Amino acid sequence: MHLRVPPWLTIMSKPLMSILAVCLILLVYMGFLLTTNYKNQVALHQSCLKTFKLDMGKRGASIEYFFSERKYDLVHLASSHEISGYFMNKSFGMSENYGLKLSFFLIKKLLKNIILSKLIHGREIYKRFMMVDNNGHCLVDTFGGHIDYHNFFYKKFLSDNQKTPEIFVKKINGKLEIMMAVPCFYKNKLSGELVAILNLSSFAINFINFPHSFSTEGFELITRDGKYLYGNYGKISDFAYKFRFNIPVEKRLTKKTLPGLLSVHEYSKILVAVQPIDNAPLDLIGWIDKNLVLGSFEPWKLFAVTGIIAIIILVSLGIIIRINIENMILQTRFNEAEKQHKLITEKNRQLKSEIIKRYKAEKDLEEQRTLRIRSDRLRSLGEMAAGMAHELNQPLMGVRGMSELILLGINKKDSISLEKIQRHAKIIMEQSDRMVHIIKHVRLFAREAGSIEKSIEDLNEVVNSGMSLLQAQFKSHGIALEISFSPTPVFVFINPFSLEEVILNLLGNARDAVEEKKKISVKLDYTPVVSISTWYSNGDKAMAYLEIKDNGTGISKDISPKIFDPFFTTKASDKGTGLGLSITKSIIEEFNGEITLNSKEGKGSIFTINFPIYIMEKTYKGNKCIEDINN
Amino acid sequence: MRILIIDDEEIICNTLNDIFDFMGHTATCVDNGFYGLKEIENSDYDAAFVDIKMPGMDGIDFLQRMKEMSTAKPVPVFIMTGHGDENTRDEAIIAGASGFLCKPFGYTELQEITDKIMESEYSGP
Repeated sequence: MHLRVPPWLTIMSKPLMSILAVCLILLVYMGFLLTTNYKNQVALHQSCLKTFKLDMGKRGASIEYFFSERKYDLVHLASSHEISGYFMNKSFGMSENYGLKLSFFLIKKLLKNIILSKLIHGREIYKRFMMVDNNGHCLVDTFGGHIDYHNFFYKKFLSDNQKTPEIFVKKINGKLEIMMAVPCFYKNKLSGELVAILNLSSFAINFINFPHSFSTEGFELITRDGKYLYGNYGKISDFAYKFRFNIPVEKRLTKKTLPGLLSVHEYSKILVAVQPIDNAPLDLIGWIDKNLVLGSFEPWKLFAVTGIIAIIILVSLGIIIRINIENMILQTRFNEAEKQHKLITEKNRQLKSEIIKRYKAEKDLEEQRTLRIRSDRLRSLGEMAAGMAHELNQPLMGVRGMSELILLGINKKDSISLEKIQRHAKIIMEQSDRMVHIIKHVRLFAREAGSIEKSIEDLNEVVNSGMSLLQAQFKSHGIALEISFSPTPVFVFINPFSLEEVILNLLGNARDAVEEKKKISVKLDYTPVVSISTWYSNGDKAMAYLEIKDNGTGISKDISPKIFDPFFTTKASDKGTGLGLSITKSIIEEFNGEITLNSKEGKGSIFTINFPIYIMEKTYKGNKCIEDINN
Repeated sequence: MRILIIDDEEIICNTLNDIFDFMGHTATCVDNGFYGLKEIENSDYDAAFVDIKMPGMDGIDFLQRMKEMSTAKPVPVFIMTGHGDENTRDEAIIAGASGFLCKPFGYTELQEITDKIMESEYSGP
């Protein structure tokens, strides 16, 4: 069974299919890459955030550690023997102006030593130390000693119940400072407070200005209630400013909004992390430009862009395939046309060769036919020659006999009269003329036979002259020849010799027919009769008729339609070629005439020939042609 | 000697008539076989010269019919023909012809035949 394939599929060539396959594979690969990329991007994003968080956490932890160290410092200082010595001396009742001056000096020296010795990256950690008693009076201040000069409001910062050091932020001289306070005990009794002001700048340099491990944009240290302490903005950008000044404090207070050590906020394009410092009332805020860290290219954008590229590729692929298919369709059609063309060419070639073959065969046939016609002509000529010999022998015998008689008479002297000689000579003359006539006719026939040059002829004359050739033969064969001519001449446009041939042929056939019948006839009184007659009809279609009738064997109905076919004959092969009637027919048609047969088997045949009358006698008389004919 | 000539050709009749006349014989001419048979039946002839091809009855027919006639005395028959054809000659001889003459012939040939008839060399068929 023939499997029907859709036409568009059949024309998909192998290269096109492979291109398509490669494109599909590419698309799949692209999708795979895209997904992987997206995953990677997201992972990167998350890892970036994680790193950011970690960084912030580390910073927060180091700040916490720093503060806990400072607390330890203060606790250590508070229990130092200088300070406990002071409290001890005071409890001994030493006056402040005299007895305790040494203690103050020692404490101040200690604290100053601390300020000078506690360094971070070459900078002092502590800016100032103070010591106040339970009443809030200043006992020691590392800053000069001129207390009033600084207009510092000394007081107790810690409550009476406070036993551990505390860090707090205070505004001093219009400037926020990170301060620390630790209670001092003497014999488990709260005796005073040690207060330290931290050097914010050294602190900041250490922890905030510290080179960024991560491409953090900037840091800011704020109090828990949102007051600005110190900031490092790195590359200060508009966003940073916006962030710095436009974001409300409440939002920055992340401990309320987001519990935990770290939370990340996104403001516009800035990623913000807030790291609370646990052992100090401070928050560390860090931010990064999201674009710088994660890239401005967000994962979904990659998807979108790749998708668009994929769509463009698909569309162009589609267009290419379509064009290709169209081309292929055209190619296929072209091939088809080529094939058809080839087929047609082949057929044409075959046809041509067939035509040539047929032409050759026709030519052969024509040659054969010509040959046969020629032989037929020769045969009829031969027949005619025999007839002619017979015809000539009659007058010849007369001539010979008569001349012999004259000679014999003369030799015998008186036995022949002049009158007799005259009579004999006259017969000789007559018979010689007769022979001349016959010979002339034969010559004309021989010369003109086959020519189809037509001329205006009297049908009766032509019939007469044609008939005369066979008249003697008919007589000698014992066949009666009845003649009936039209009363006036009938002029037809024919070739007289061709028509004579026709008449000879038809008369010959008639002769054969009657002789055949005579042979088979039972009755002895059968008289063979052949009649030849001419007549014409008047009117618009004036026609001349020539009829040759015999009472011979006739032609059976079976063969009568075939008798005009070339080479059809009922005679023995040595007697006829079967061309006679076909030649007759073609000659008659040449003269625009018709030949019809009316025959009854056993009774005889009638051949009727009709021609258009070229000119009627009356009209003809006025014509110039008549002179030629008469002449 | 009385001679019967049967030929449909007038000139043959005339010529033969003149020749036989010159020889001193009496010749009678008829133009077909039927008249010929009648003549033979009614009159005595020493010889008959018959053309082989004639309308109605040809020379061979004539010969056979003449043989069939009981009333008539057999006459030597000489067949004349325009074609010097062997077949025709044989046919004529078989049919009982005394001689066969090819046209044209003349005085000499006829003289020979009449001489032989006179010597009774020929008899009827």
